Amino acid sequence: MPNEEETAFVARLRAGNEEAFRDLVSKYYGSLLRLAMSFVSERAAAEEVVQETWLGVIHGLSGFEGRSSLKTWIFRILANRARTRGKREARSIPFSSMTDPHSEPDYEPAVDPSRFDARGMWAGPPQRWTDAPPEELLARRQTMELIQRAIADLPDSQRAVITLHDVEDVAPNEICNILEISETNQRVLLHRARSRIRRALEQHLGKK
Amino acid sequence: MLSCKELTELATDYLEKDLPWRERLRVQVHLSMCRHCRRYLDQMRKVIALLGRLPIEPVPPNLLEKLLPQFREVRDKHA
Repeated sequence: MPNEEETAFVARLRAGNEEAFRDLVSKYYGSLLRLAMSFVSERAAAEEVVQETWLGVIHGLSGFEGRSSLKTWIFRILANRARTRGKREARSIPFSSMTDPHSEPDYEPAVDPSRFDARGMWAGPPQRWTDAPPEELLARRQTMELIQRAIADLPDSQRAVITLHDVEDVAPNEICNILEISETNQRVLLHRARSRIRRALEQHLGKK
Repeated sequence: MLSCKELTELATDYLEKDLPWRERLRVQVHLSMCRHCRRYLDQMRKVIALLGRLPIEPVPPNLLEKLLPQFREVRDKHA
């Protein structure tokens, strides 16, 4: 729920305060671009979606009712724009077709089953990872590129969920609202996405 | 007892505190006895930490120049 500070900020925006608008753009631009990239893979298309989102925000501000946080409201506008674009380009729309995650043909285990013995205990247990803190790892170009590639390689729906949940720190119920998916679905997609990224990093981060 | 394979499938729900207490307890009992699974969960935590700290792109300099006229136009229409 929006707090007092946000209510005051929204009031300034609605009054046409340019400084507030500048703050809004600098606060959310990077997040919107990331989220747009999770819907449309091409950079130029993602930038266009972000631009359209800002126009939607400008025109929609007077109708913003504060029923969700400002961030969720803006993310929702972006998701809608990206979906419209997908329809226009006759691209497959990942989210609406994913009401029952267990019926997905691409059902996937978190860890390669060959890593367990017949009783389901580790046969090839996880190796120790480097103790380097996240900031240090992200400063390494190779690690950074590996993570970005791992995110880019995710199926669309998984990428959108993990971007919102783990990168943008959006609450699960708001993610369901933004992506129009069920809570169960959201949890399954998050689990699969995280498991895939762990697998993608496993060798690289293993202690030599 | 919960198998390691089952634990890897419960990892996200466990970390998000989405498990019913009975399941949560089963995971905790398993973790107290299995260093491999403790390591697995630490790796998942590291993944989350990395994702939460990804650098963000700065606003391109010409974006506001494009958006501000629109913002003003809408404002002046409502005024």
